[in-house]
Amino acid sequence: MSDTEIRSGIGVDPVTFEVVKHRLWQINDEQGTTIRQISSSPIVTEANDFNVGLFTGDGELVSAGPYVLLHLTSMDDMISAVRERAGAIREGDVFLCNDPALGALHQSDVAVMAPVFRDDELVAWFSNTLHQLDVGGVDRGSFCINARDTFDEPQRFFLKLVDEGEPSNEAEYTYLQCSRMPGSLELNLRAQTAALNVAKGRFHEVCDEYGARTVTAVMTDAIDYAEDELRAFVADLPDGEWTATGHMDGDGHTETIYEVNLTLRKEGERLHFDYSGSDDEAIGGLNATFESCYAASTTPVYAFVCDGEIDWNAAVKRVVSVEAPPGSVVSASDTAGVSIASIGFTWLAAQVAASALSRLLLDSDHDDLACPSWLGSWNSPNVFGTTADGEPFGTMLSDAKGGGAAGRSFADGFEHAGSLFAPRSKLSNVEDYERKFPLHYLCRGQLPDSGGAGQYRGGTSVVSVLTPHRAGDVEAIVSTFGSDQSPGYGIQGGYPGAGAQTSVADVEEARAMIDDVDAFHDLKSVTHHPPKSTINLDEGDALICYAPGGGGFGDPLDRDPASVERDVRTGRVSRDEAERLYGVSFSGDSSDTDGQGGDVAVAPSGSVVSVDAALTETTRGTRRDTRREGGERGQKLDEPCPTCGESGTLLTRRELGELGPWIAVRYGGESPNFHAVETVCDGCGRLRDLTQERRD
Amino acid sequence: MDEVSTGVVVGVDSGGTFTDAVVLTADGTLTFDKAPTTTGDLSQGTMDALGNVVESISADLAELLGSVTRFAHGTTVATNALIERTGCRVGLLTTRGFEDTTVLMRDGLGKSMGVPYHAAMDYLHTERPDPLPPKGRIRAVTERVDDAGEVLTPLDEDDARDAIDELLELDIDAVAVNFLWSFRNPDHEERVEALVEESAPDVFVTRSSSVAPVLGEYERSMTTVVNAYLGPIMDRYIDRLDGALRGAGLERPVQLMQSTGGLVPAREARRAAVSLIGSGPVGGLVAARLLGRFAGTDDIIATDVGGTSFDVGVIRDGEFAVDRTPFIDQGIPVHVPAVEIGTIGAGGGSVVWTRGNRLRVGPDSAGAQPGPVCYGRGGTEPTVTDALVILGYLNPANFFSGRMTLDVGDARDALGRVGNELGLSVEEVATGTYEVATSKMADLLRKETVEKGNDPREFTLYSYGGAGPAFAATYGADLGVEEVVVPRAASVFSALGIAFADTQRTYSQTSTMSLDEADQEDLRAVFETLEQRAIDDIEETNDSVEEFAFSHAVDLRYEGQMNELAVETARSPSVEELRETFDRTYDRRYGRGASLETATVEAITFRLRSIKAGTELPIQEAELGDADPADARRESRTMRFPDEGETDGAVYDGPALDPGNTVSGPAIIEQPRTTIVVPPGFQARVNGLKNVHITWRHHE
Repeated sequence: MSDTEIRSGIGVDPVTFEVVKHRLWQINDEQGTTIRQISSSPIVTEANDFNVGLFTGDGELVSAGPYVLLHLTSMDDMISAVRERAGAIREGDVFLCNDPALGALHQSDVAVMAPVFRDDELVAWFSNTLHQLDVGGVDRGSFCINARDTFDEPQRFFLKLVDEGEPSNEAEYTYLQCSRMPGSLELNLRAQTAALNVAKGRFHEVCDEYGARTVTAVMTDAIDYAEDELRAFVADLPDGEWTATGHMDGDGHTETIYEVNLTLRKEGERLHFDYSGSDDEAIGGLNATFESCYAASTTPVYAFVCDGEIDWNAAVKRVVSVEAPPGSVVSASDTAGVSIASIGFTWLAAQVAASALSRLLLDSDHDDLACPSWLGSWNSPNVFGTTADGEPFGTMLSDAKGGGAAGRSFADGFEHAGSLFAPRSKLSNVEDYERKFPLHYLCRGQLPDSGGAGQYRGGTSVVSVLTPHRAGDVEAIVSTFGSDQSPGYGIQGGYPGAGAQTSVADVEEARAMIDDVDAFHDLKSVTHHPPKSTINLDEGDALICYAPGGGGFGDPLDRDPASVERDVRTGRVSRDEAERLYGVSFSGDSSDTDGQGGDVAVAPSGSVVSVDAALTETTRGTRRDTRREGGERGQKLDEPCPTCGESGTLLTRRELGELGPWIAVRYGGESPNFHAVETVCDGCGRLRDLTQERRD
Repeated sequence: MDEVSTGVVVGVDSGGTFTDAVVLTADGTLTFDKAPTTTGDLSQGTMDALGNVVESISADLAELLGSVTRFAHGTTVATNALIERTGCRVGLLTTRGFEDTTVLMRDGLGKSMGVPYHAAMDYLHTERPDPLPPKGRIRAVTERVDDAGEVLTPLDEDDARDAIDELLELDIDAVAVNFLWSFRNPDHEERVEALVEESAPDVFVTRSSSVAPVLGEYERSMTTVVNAYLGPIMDRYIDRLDGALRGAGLERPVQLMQSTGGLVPAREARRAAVSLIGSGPVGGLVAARLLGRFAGTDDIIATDVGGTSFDVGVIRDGEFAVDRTPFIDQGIPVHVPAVEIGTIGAGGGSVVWTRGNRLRVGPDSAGAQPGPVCYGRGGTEPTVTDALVILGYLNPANFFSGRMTLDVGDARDALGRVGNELGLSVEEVATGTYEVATSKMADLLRKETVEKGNDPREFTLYSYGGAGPAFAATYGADLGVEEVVVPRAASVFSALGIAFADTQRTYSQTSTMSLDEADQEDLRAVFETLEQRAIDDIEETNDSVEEFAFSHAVDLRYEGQMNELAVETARSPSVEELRETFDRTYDRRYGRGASLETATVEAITFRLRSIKAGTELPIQEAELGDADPADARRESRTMRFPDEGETDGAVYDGPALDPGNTVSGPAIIEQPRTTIVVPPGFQARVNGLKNVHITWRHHE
């Protein structure tokens, strides 16, 4: 940084710049620490579904916490709304807003905002936003799958909570009464305002020490520097267009399938995400506002391009533009339902954006930054009800965080990866849930064969099986997508990972899954619920759920057989699927146990499998030949085949169930709506692409 | 027994590069020395260091050891075995259905916690560590207890025996047992532990309800697994050390330093190896606190530059910052409290290398063997120490108390190779190395102070470790502390702290209860259980319970919260007192009015510490004399400083400096085993303890 020119007029030296910038980062991070300590909600403390921000007086983001990335661009939207609409903005004010029309991602995300003044001049804002467990609406937990439009959904607030240091009891009362769990809301509100107070106090200390002019200069310079770095990075990428498509199965009212279409245009120093061609807004609460769609589009930019190197601030807003047709699922009208947006179309748009951006990055010198999906959809039910004593309870389970991330261009995808939106979130301990809620886990563990096959395999997912325990009434409200096709997208011929499914079976029969998860496929009492469902759970019911696995990278037949062997030994891939999907043959069981130790484990059965290299080679050759025998002629690809140099392709249709045992389970692997299309090199049989497409 | 007047106190700190020994003889004299840490038989380093001390005071080793009343030892054996993954083969037994708990690593936690921020945010390049143990060494046992401690599925003993047999067939050295809710009802774990002992009496076995009876199965599993992973290693190490010392005449049991900053008898440490992880650098903090107490300083930043790493600890109001669930490695949190210490790979042995057109320093280290190029032990990669030689800071003819000579030519050649790649002179590479290393150290210092709400200007910075005083003035000034203190015993500071540390044991037990429903009796009952465990441990060592002080704390939270606040309490607090203390602590931490008088507070985990004060440090302060250090001045040498270029500086013989002497930079003070660099514009004053205080003119 020391050799960079000084941008602000007042000449902050490089050392002061670094010192002050770092302190500002730390002050804002302290907001986050305070919230995590005080908050009542596992959604906040474990899933990290919140964020904190420091903004310039003009409302541009200077520093954000390492929490949910979607809030990075939405918090300043709300500050803009306050600046436009508030009657007066004065020292000591605190505003509260959860209105999607004013920038909130959905009504559950409640933001508080405080201006900071020095000598009567507005020099900064602090804000934080938290996902609340319940803010009302027709469904408990406020993911309103039964709402038709915004008027069935949670109330929208824009309140001045504190006026020049005087708390408004009226505003606080009005806000807290919306919830089925006002106690939780109140504790969170304390956390949110305490965090603002801590941060404001520290900010004044820095201003006292260095002068407000220096501090504000550092704030604007920090954004400018990050912008320079990001522009330089983008300029380095090739110009062009890259596309991706994603699907939403069902809206809670109908089984309609919605499409999100994206064309990513890169020109010079700009990235433009164009969602033209996406479907019209849906009935129900899944729709994303334009602001949410914007936040989704920037998520992979922050995560993969900026990661820990380029500061997370408003620079991204200066480089990324988004276009989405008004009234569509990704730019919903003001009356559309949006209460489930963040795990609905916003989530989907982020995966689609990651896919398109990955295609661009794979065509550049930065192919190591490509990752086309990361926990493709959220599949953790909201569970509400009463204990045996009649006490009400409610929570959002976090088990979905066990989902996988897509394979990378140089290594497998991350297993049990957590969410793309919240890098440092964590799966809750089973004991934490069982202690607080009348629930009992039968088992929770990795889901074999859930990572998409590929040269680099997608990350494995997790399956949970649980049942009410010492409970009264228990209701699971499910809102996910990917029970039809899988949103765990692969790339360059990599297969998709597991989809998302929530099912219910008789608890005694479901016990078989404790020993062997694959017993799921043989459960006679099982009901596979649609991705949006309200499920009453009785004492004898077992709830079974899993989130998507990561998609694969590249042709599975190109996977190093030694890696497949390791997958089989560690139980991530079954032997049958290793032979079926990867064309790897094994030279039978061996009774030789792992005598060498180290990092290679034996298969859970205690037996060791070894690859038969010669047979594998032959099998794979035959498979490639077979691929070239069938199929209709496809379009020539721009890039010649890396193996043989040919550009011609052949297209073959397959059932989704052929890609893995956990896709379209609801339909026994044969989706009535989708099939897979393989694009094969006609020269050598290499798999060039694999897509999930609508049946004609 | 009054240890102060009757016996010899020995502290030995076995670090990555050197093993340091401090000996307090019966006449109140403190002597110290060091020897290279041996890599094969680690106890040899200890014997060598003691041998050096004995030689310098012309004593007889057997006689000296025979009159030892306290032999305290710190070792990095456990830490290194974990970090390098060279622990033993562990088999893990879990509740059936949950055998993947340690493999899942709580998802994002496994990848991004316990690593530096930049690594955590590097989505696609920061890999998750391999699971410990590998999946193939995990076996499930049919059993299940619920959150109330009630048995839902009885323990299937045949199943357990089969699981144990399968693990034994895998040739494992240790078994860890962690069942769900075992801290509520340990019966199943206890029974399985007995079954393992029955089947394989030689296999080390450890269960979670004994090591960490605390809520949260992942953290409890890892605590238990790591304990098993290191237990046999510590067992062997202690046997060997104990054997060597007994053979040489030691009669008293060896005590080991833990990550809490307290000592326990080695016999107990075998059972709780996990509590030794990260104990290495804690000794220095204990010593800094001891000296600080004497000087009336309660706020201290303790910095240690060794051969491989730079460690920073903060003491505020005389108390260490404690982490209740520290990460001991990426993705491995444990339920064992530890003194908070920040660390980066930057030390005397850190390797200097290039990447693109950038000069890089560390984190790789040449370690003890082969060590820096200038040591002439076969090292070929240039290191920070080689740069210090070129800069004129280290005296090639008088290094390590004159026991080593340094090869300047080889150091020059090695740094020259780096220079050729970057188009820089040897001197420029050496200066750049010093600057890069110092700025990395300053970054960590800011992280551990400013970022944690501590204003460095209110602190005194202590610098120790063999290489620390070469850098301390520069990073201290950069950070903005008032003064930097280099203790006379800087080169063996951890050993000093270890020698005089308290004996301390920590206990915890999760026992959740709502304060609305609990009464004083309920609270007392849990503390009494913990006290009984503490008393049992004390009595097992034939110590007297009266010599120990107990301190009590409870982790409390508002009902519904996920995080607790630790609240110190009296032995038998009333529920009201506890509640009041909680609200007060809460307001202080989160701002006035943050507490919610109407909300229910619940107790989660109860904690107890038993502490027996260590031996008092014998301190005699001398009168300050003349400021003129001329009598100690030895020679003038050419030195280089980053902003000054080449300049002539005075070299002083440290031991010859008298209290009150003041040295102006540029200068070098050669202590027997460390070198203090006083840059231009800095002043160093020797105090009554012969500690060196460095100050400078602060920027306006």
